[in-house]
Amino acid sequence: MENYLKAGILTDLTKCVGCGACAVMCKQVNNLPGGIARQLDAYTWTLVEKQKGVYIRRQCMHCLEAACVSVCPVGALTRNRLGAVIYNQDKCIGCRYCIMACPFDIPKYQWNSRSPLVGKCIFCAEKRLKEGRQPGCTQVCPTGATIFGDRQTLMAEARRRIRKYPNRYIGHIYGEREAGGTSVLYLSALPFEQLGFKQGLRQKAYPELTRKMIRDVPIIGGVGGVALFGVMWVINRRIELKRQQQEAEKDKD
Amino acid sequence: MFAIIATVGLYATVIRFGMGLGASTNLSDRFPWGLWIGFDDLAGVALAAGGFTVAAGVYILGLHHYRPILRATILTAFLGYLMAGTSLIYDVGRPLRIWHPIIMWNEHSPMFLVAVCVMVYTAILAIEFSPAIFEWLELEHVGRFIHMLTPPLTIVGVLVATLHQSALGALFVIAPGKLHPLWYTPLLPALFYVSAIGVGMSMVIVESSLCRRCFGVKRHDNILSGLAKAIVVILTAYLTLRILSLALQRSIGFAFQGSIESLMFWVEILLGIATPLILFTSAKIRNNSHTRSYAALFVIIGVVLNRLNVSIIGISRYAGFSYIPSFIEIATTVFIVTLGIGAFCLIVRHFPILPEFGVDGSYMPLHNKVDGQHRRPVLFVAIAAFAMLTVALIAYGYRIHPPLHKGNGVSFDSNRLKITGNGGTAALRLPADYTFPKNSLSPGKVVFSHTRHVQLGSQACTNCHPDLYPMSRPTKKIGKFHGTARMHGCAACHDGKSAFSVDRDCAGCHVK
Repeated sequence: MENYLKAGILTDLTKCVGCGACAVMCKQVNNLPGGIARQLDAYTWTLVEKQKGVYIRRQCMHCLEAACVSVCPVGALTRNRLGAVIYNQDKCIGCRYCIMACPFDIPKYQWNSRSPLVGKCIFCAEKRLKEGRQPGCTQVCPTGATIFGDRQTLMAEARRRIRKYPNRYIGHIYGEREAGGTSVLYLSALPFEQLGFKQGLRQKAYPELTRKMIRDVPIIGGVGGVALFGVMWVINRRIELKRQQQEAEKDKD
Repeated sequence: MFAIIATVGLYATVIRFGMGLGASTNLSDRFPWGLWIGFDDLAGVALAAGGFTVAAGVYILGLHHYRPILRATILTAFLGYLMAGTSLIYDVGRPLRIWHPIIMWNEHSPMFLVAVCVMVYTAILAIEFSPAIFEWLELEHVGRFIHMLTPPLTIVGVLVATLHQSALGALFVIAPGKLHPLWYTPLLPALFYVSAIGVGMSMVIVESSLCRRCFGVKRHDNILSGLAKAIVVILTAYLTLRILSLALQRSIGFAFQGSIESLMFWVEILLGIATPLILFTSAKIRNNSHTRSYAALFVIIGVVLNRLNVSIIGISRYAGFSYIPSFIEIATTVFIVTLGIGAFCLIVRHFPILPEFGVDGSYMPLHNKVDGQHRRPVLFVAIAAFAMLTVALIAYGYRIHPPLHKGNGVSFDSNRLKITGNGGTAALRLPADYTFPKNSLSPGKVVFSHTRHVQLGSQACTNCHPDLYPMSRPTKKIGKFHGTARMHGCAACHDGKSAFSVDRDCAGCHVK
């Protein structure tokens, strides 16, 4: 895979027939136990659900600037060179901040395990992207509803489809700007708010909210330290001077 | 009393580590943080803020008249942080890896900041507390050497404490859509920090009065009333910041919506800020140790409420349901808090912490001073209230999540359901008949009856629902029309062997 390529997935909801092959393939590639759940969970990293007669594929959005990546205290969640948000299960301590922070509520936890891990789509990064292959889900899709490609190319394709078939699609690409932009994009015939897609999200990346605060930390530490030391020195000096003054007065008497 | 708490606590520990978080807590993907984070960690760390506040007062601001209470305050803070750390061991999914933040860094994460600063600060507290141990060991020169380190350590401690108290607030700044607008604000770090200072001082007041009652030591009326005056300043500052943050976010309207959140908001503001503010402005209340302690208690209740509102109540609407801590979560919290209080009492009795036991740290044994009279009314009231709250919560939780079956002659034997009692399947609250609609993939609607499958087919729940509750039985493809995801569920048993095959005339199931 070329280095400049930023991995993306375009899911065209008008083409999905709900066969669930993507979900089955995901289970196979990642050796996930159990059947396909009704909602994403720690062992079901993608699935197809149906709302208002439309089949909708759910998965991690692989945000361009992911909240989960920014909040993980040990850096277990990272964004790799290709843009996939991947999970290093050897680092994870199980604080579940990623679950708290994700605006799409994607990361799920293995609550019933004694050594629990987080579960979410990892873009088949190790098993396929690394070898130059596309993820399992996009490979098996029989209708081409969900396809893999470079994000910019997919964005152009999505815009092309909207332009060419304005009666087939609503004029919005979900994931273009949501949470500052995501690698996984959606096209739909019905408005996204009717199909259970998160609404009201920031149009800029969520980590921006805390970045400024964190960046000021060394400044607070440095300036604060000097200031406190200064205060302490001045006050102690005053106390010392007062004591010397009192002793001097005592000596006078 | 302690034996009961300890036994229950140990049982809770076994359940938590033996069966995992899912079995022992009411946490879930929609509510990943609960009592342990909201109360033990957030409230616990705030309540332990007295350490750096009083230390800063004594060593940086030169207010040496606060020195007599310093050691007890440092001890309280130290134990407070140990308690918060212990609750983290319970809460974190892989506690054996809790040391990872030391070598695995993510400088962008507020939680990383909290982890590192809390570790550093607990170490500092341990060092600041150690002179008491060295004096007990009669190694006073070591104690005096550490005393010399104290001023720079205090500065580092204040900085580190400021950072992590604020960072705890910063934890929630990443989730504006999830936390209710009455609490979400980019100013959360500042609000957490200021309230921590205020509640730290209030804890000093309450803890002093408890020490007086338990150990019969002298009062420190003049310094404690001085603290009370400072609390007025802090509370005013907090109130100003809070109103400012609400105004900046244009969220003031939410306070008058009549929702549960607005109710909790007013309870928090009135109980936790307005009441103590009004009380402490009166010099008479400040100077009377009784009223002073009760006023300080309001601040403590307010801050605990605030932390619970931010971490639990404020998220409930987004999560879609109300999280109620499980018995195990409550039991471990009670256990940890009791251990902390017990440790405090033990250490105070045997180590030179309270100066009344000797002048300037020289130690005199307890039995010379106090007559073994252990009247702890406030402590008992607190523990009893907590116990009653626990029972009430369990009863409430039980009522809204009743068990799936009442055991009325219903039992499961491997994968066959045995119904022996008169209740039959009425004892099981089975879902109503479900209709799969006709659509482009289904030639006619299919009605699935739980009752027929359970009663006539003697199917146990886990035959189809191995992972409660979604239908997650592994797929099986039979016949050329039943390759869709829906039919896989039926074909798993209706393959001609376990039950009639779906691969026969369609009209048998698909009704026009």
